[in-house]
Amino acid sequence: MKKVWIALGIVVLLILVAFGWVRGAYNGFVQGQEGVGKAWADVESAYQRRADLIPNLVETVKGYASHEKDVLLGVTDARSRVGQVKISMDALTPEAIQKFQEAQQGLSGALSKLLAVAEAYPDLKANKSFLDLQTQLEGTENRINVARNRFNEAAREYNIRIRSFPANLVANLFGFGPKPYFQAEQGAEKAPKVKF
Amino acid sequence: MSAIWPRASICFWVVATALAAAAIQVPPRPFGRLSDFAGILTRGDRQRIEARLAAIEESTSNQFTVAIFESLEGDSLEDFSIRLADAWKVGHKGRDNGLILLIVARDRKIRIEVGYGLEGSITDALAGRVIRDVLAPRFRAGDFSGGILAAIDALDAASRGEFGPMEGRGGGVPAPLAAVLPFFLFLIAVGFVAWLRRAAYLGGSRDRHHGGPLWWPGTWGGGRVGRGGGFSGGGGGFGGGGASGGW
Repeated sequence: MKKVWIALGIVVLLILVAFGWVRGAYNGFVQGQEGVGKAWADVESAYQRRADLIPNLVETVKGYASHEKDVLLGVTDARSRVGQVKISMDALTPEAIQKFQEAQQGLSGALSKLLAVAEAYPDLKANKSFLDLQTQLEGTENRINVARNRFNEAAREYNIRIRSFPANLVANLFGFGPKPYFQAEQGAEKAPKVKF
Repeated sequence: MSAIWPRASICFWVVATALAAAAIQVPPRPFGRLSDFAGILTRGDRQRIEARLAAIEESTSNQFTVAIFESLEGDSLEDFSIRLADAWKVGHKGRDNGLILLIVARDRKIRIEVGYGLEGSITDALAGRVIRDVLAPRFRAGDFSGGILAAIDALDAASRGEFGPMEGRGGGVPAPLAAVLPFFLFLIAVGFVAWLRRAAYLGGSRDRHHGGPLWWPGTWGGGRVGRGGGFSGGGGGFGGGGASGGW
């Protein structure tokens, strides 16, 4: 009789230990997921900040170079395309992130074209508000860079967590999937550099 | 087996030094608010700037720092700047009111890195204007201390009113007591160390330390920092706000 109780006690103890461990792993994943979600929100708001600068920029350039219609239109088009690609945290797949990145890259390209065109207009280049807009644009590109790096860092930490043995067993059981990364962009990742 | 190890360690060092060479090292958080690693300021300049920075924090709690490096060694300015900000964590936790004026002497580059809490008042555009209109002309004329002081004043003027001074830490320790408290703590620490040593001696421990113990002020890294006391706080967050430029 006594032996039965001891065996039962051991079983209960093992169950408690296993439960504690699973709980710890699970909560760790949730925490990691939250971190990735926050980093993603920061990425989106950094890109949004850039999109918000564009109407002002286009207006300013228009004042000096109104006949550069193609370039100006290109920027406005790219901006509206960017506005259509919104990804919620749950839909964060490699394909979705790539689509997002492509749209943003389109805008980056259109913007660098605009800034290159601006080079030909000395009056525009000397305009105070254009200079401010350029600085803001650079600052925003830098924020985007920082936010992307931090997102990749958060995703990497989370991915390592869900893939490490034995925690990966818990991750599989509850369906914690890996998070995608931002890929380095070929050539286009540099902010449109503006020389003073 | 034993022949493999030297080779493995050489490989390790080659890789490690290659990695280190790819990116300029971020020095540990300095003791003062101004660190002139390039040595372009005189002692008097350093003291004046340091005093100004300390006064700003006194009245606004905004933690402005100035870091002068000689060269980026090929690194990107923005990249280095954000790594510096992340490592030094300038600014107070919760207020994120740190700012780093980064100057790279030989590369003739400037960056103003603005903490989250100051982004509203020191916008990128404003930081850019300070670089273009305040710093660059004076730096071109060789007036480094004048440029730095004028820039600090401009940035301070823009960020006034964002935060008030920090409330006394520990909330309500009377001033005289606060003044003598560190002394008592010091005495207690000395007593504790003496007790430890005695205990070690009585325990027959033979290993002896050479040089001062860790808390000995002489063992803290020197460097060309201005006077004005150390700065505490830390924990301020940065998100890449600010502006870059050159002269």
